[in-house]
Amino acid sequence: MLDHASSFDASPAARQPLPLTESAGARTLLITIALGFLLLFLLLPLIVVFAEVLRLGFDSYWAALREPEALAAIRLTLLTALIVVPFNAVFGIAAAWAITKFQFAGQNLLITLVDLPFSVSPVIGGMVFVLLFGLQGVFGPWLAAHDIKIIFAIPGVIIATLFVTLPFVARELIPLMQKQGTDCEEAALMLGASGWQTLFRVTLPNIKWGLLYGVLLCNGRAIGEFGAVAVVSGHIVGHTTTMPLYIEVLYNDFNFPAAFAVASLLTLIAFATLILRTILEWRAEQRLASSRLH
Amino acid sequence: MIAGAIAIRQRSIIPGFGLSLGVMLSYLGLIVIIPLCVLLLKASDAGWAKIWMELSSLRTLAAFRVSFGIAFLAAAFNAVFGFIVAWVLVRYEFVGRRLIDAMIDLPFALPTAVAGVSLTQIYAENGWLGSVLAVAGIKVAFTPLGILVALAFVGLPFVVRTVQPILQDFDRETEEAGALLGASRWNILRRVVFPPLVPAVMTGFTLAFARGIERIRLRHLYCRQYARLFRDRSAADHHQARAVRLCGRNRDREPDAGGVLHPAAHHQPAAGMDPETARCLTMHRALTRVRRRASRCR
Amino acid sequence: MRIEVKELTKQFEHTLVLDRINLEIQEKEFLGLLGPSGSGKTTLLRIIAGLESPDGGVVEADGRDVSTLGFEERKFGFVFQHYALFNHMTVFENVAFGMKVRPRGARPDKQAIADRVKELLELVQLGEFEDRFPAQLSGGQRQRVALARTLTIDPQVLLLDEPFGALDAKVRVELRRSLRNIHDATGLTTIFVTHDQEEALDLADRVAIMNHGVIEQVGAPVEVYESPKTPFIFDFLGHTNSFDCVIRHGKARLGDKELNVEPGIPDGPGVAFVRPHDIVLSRANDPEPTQDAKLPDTAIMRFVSARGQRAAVELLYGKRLIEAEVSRERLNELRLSVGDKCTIRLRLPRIYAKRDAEKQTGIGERAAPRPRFRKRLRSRLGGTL
Repeated sequence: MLDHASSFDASPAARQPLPLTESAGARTLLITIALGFLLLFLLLPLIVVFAEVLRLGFDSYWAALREPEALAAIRLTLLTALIVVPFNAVFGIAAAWAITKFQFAGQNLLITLVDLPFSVSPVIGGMVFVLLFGLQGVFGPWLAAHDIKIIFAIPGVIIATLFVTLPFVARELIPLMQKQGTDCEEAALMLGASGWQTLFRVTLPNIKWGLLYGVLLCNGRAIGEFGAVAVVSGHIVGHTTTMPLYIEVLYNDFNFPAAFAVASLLTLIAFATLILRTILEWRAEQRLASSRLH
Repeated sequence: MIAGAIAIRQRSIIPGFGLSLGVMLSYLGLIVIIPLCVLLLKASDAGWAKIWMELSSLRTLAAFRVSFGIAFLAAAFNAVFGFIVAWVLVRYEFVGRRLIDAMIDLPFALPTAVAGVSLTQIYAENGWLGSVLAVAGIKVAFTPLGILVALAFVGLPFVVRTVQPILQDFDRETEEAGALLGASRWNILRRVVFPPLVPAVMTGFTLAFARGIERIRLRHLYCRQYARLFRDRSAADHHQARAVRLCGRNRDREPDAGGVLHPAAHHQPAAGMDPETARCLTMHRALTRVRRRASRCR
Repeated sequence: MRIEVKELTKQFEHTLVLDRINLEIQEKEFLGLLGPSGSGKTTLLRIIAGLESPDGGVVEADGRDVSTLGFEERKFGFVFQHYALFNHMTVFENVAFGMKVRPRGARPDKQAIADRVKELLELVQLGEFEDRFPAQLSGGQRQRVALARTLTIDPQVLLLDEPFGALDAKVRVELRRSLRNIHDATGLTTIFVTHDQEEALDLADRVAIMNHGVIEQVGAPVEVYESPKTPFIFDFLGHTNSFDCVIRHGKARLGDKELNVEPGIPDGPGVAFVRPHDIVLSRANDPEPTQDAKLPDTAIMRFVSARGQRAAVELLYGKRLIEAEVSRERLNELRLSVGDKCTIRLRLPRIYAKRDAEKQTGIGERAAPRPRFRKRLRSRLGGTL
């Protein structure tokens, strides 16, 4: 014991700091490696997109975007997002409410079902609807008889996207609402609020950041979905190509300028999504910190 | 079933169980459960034996072997570098850390199409890096190496995002205990810090691997669809001619571009041809290769 | 409003959380539900509130079955353990909530709402905090907002779930006073749940002590403290020193005295429970006789901890430790210090059957929980468990 005591007094050797972190040299090396890796594999593709766009010049850029087929692709993508996101948001809220505010048998099974589209390949997602609604599918003959087109038409694209983006909002809301518990809702009900009043005045404001976050993720995925839509849409340019599909078509057609032009749009949306997400996360952190002060 | 569930649950004051469960189940049923059941039914219709034969045919197996191998390598690559990235982001402070942290999710947010297109552009023989690498004799685009790179991009966030929270919540006191007990930094890292992180890295690896397989299968499947949709040569020719026309349009002279750029002809861009056309030619050759690959997919 | 609980039963998974509870709460009464965790007190409160429904039995308010009453007729105010304030609303909006969600016809106008909110905030002494958010308030302030919010609906009964559980000791005492004042001012029937016996005995008009889903005793604090019916209650309400004795023909021999035993306690081995402040110390050779039972041997003082006016004294008697509480003056009077021998006399012991005492408290072997099905199983298997 005495030896230790003597080594703790102020001799130069003892004043060496504890190895609580790596040496400065190691740190620099690691940071360089990490940044280099990220630059090469993450940032370069983005830089390329914008470099190509810049090389294009504004006029060509604008012209490429105003091609009727490009506009159709943009319109289809926006239409899909506009339909898919609200539906999945409502579903997410309903699912989270059912699962977190009540206790019943089979809760975990339901959660697994909700997660299913997430763990299944999007190609399977697309294929499933082809099997269901395609010409040789289960409902194929019936649909053909009534002249309703789903596969290789816009409804198919929307349904496939619905499938793939289904879990996003629910996955955000379920753990959040589980953590929040039922106290606030019970309090509101004890104070005389009706079920809907409780939902809109108490629950939704409580989950608003999680909801926004989930909507953002859902939106990003709906806009960028490729696999499922590729299988379902038939690539009918000008009709059933969404923006991601259209980029591929353009690229295979050699039309790099246009491909990059449309790609740059998608990249901008991706950026905007990421920035919004970071802001939301940052604000959520802030609110957490301020509430912890008390 | 809903009534049964209502009977099973504990009655409480909160309303809306029937409504929310009903909405949830009908939505899920329509979009997830019924379609997937149909898939399973159809698969069993085709006969499991037939499916097994299909799966085990040599070609498919070869394709799978390639897929698995490449995806494995890409995932391993991501595991190593993803870990370093996660470490650096959590443990060190440097300029732009927050920004870079946000950027990690870019492969998620960026549609595959964009990623594929820009990666090809970089690594093609006349691309930014491709040209550099070509000097060294390394071909990336349209080779397994290219697929590797693409998968590395796509799987990048998985390892990082799986390891980060574990690292963030890591109890620094155990490190301090190790230091106080006299261990060197490397020993502390090796024995105290890394072991709890291994499961997270493995999880990230598995996710990246699965994603990689899926992407390759997508390519595989897309190949088939592409090949099927453009089965007849005339369609393929039409497609190629259109490409050439677009190239021609870019130039907007050389009206007999169609004749000059016949597939069977030139293998080298003639000297004096302007860069745009030269590029068209190179890409044309690439397209031919793609077509050949597509027919191989069948 | 008078509340009657009749044969209330609640089962959760395989545990009987409430076992045929019968309880009557008078109008304007301030009742405390006291018991350890798992005794079922919170469940009972929540069932009375209507937040959960019982498996058997009924809750009646003024003679009418509560589960048939709508919100307007029932109007029970409930204050949650963690307050359940609406974090995205200001204090003002929280308190105003009950009025704002009334159906169109019954809703007061803006000015009336504002006046009422101000009035209630003054009552709980939070007048200047109208525009603050819950995150900016301390625990005690949040508690008061929760209380004011509940009072908005003009409740007929006030139900509080561990109202002071999460607060510092000093804040707790202050809030106790406020709560009592509010009760006296409003005359509301109030039921509150707590595991803190000091709080219950301090605040309540009557205390109902619960254990394992059963109400063991109901009565005024004094009554429950001085005449606890079961060993569990005695032990739960304060420190216990236990001394073995033998009960024969309704009398127990303890030390040098024969004491009467409550009727209903069987002959056989018994145990006397004595509070620390009922242990009387005197110098070893002091012959002064009193009516208190004197223990045969002397005890050695082991440890003295001067806690303010009263000193906690630890004594070694044979092989066991006895905890006594003596006033400082008395200690000085006796000129006793650590290591000295002293005589022990027991004042106001309560005698119980030894078997009950061991089953219900930690005295002797560990007390096992008392689930009903185990008893049935045991009798069926003939005691092999």
